[in-house]
Amino acid sequence: MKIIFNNQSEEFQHVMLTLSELLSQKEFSLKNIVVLLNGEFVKRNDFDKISVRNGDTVMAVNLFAGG
Amino acid sequence: MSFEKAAEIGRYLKKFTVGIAGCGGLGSNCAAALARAGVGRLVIADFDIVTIHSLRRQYYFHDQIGRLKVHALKDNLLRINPEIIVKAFDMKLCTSDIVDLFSHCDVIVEAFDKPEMKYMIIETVLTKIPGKPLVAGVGLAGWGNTNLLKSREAGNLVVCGDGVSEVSDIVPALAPRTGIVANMQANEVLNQLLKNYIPEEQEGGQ
Repeated sequence: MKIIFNNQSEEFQHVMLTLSELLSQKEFSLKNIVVLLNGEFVKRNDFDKISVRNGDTVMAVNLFAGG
Repeated sequence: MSFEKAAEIGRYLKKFTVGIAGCGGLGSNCAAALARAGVGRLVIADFDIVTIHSLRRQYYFHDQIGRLKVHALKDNLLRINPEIIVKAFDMKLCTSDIVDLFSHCDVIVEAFDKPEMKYMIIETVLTKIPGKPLVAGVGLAGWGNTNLLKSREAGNLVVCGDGVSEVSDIVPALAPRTGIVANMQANEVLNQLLKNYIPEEQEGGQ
């Protein structure tokens, strides 16, 4: 599948991945992470249930201290 | 004249309300930029007081040490623009406060320090206040690396900053980079507010 991940086009061998699998492949920490799938906020508890498919757009942001 | 065009945009911005959650380095500097641009109303919230350390990067002055940030910031914003209306809330925000205080705002600015608080407001705004633009700041620690600072957008969320640097005991938040991200946030707020802005025809124009 081909997706847009953080504004970059990326290809994966898999036909689909759960958000948890995608984030772990991208080596994202799950601590204080905000994920939007096709512009919609995804709750942390749903990362194992929600799948990412061809053509999807994902934004993942780890939140860091500082303000 | 560019003066006149900026004044015209200021008049247009007067009808808008912007909510700012947190009045530290991001919130205070972002508020000052929005007041200068001409935004009519600001809703600001913070529970903290001004200390000597605040002066290193936040929009406060030495003679304001010991005052509540929301009160000191309100004074400073009114000194910039006496016509601005500032609603100041001295409180630590929770989910329900965010909905109560900011639902009627045209755009909301996330300007918290702690990652858990950043998560809380992002989740709250995106799930409980549908359609409301939220401009967050993530990654401002240290100095240099100006070219890494950027803004990213997805759905109703805009994230400004480098997205990777974390303020710690070793890498502090300093005035320039904090100020840049705060002003990027203000810039993204204007981008939202001016979406439907149509410039007035110039006098003697074609």
